[in-house]
Amino acid sequence: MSEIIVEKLRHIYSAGTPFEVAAIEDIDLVIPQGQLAAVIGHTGSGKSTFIQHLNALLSPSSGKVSCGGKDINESKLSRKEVKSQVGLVFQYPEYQLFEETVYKDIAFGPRNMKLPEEEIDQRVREAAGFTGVDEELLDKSPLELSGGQKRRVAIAGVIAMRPGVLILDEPTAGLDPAGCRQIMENICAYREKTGATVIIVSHNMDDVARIAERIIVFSHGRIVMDGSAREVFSRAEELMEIGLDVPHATELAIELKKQGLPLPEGIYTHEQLLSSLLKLKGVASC
Amino acid sequence: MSIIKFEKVHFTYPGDQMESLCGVDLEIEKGSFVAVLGHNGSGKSTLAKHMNGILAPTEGRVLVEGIDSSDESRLIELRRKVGMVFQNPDNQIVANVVEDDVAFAPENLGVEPGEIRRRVDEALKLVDMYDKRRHAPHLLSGGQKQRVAIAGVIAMEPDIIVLDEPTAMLDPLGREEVISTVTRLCREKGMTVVLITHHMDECVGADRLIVMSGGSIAADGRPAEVFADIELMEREGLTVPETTRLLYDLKKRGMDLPLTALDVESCAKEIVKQLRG
Repeated sequence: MSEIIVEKLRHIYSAGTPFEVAAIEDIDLVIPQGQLAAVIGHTGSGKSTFIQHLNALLSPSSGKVSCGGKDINESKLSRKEVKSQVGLVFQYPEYQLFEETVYKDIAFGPRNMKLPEEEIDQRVREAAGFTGVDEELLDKSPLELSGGQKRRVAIAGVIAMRPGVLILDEPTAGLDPAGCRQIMENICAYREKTGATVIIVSHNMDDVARIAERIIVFSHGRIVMDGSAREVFSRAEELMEIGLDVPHATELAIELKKQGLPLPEGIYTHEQLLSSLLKLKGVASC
Repeated sequence: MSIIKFEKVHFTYPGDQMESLCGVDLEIEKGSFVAVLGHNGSGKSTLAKHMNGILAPTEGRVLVEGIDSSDESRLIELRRKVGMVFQNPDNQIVANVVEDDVAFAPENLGVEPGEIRRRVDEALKLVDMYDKRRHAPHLLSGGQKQRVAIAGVIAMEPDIIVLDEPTAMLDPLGREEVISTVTRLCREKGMTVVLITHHMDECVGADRLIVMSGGSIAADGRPAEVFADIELMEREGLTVPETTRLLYDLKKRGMDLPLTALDVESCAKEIVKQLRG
């Protein structure tokens, strides 16, 4: 079990200097095992600081983070242990590939966990499978791959540690639409097969609307909304006020309502908008 | 009048079997804003790199204001006419102060100091970064850095600016800043803008949209017309704006709608008109 509990979390950068700034404050939340949550917020809202606390890359200035019932900052050992339990994929992880071959790069995490060679091999192949990295690429140098392939190799490197919680910071940034779709599908498939918790930081509201069970909205270092896609995107105007986008379908629904169409609240996908309009059409033609 | 002309351009990267450009014919009008879409590997960046002679055709030729890009003796002249902006702003900034960075190119061109001052100020004002002229570039946001990179290009006073996925690494706000900046350069300064991207939203305001596929041009027209061919866009692994998609799906179910109402407001207007009968 890797339920994450965050209590009164606060992080101050450059404490004790004139540049002291609270990056996050008053963060209280529980992320149950197996949830697919999205974290959204504009640049500088504190979302990256937040996720770095979930695997002890940053320690709280005050407050507590627990994973599976244990305070992750309890000891040096617990801070180490949580790193294989909670896998963090950074933005542009392809810049962190460094090994001679794709295989060695994916194997780096499991090897550090001091697993037996057979187990490492099994995990590398399994992780490559999850992320759609072809067998034949395993012996190539990461430098020979395309951007999308490198991104998948980097994600595979984290998945190979079989983390119970997988956190991805903007996993689709900079990819073309086909590449985005594929990565999102891979991540969802990983979660379905393993029951892992997945936390995605994203600016792409259409993706978030489509896949997330829960959306956590950061603004100025605090959580300002936390709920289902329907709940969060019903507050589209507030989101736009804090400088965030809303899904394209929501934007269009708002304009249609402004022009007088009686559409329901909380539309956030293309399918919902389409079916609401077809319903109206049915009414109109009766 | 066309300012860039591709004549049956073929290009193969050294060591590759496959051609990356397969006989591209293309003319770009002076002063126009042209967006180029395509999935990874479609040849869109290769196309861009032919516009200022970073790459030269293996067959065919590229003419920019009459200069043949394969003519090495005129390469410097060509590059003064065509400025390039790339994906990663951190790789394009060389100086420790914003205005020094913008001055880098004109200094290298041997421009008079007084004239450099004028160009730097003007370029920074154009990209709306004049207030930050004495800042350190590494403390700026991604969108701001990219605008400094654009200012650095403008300070060379090129006729054409080619941007190769300039927003791929930016957040939504940064993307908007960059796109509105280049749109303004085209509309107000009459610069020719070529924008390579895979964000379809960024193409909506262009005069012309070209879709690249397998090294060839798969579609070419006004953005609204190109997006209206949803089957083609999907075949190319590209998405279309929500407006076009919705109009398309409603039309399929018997509503009489034009697929070319691209912006949110006019799309909504068409739908409301239909439903109200």
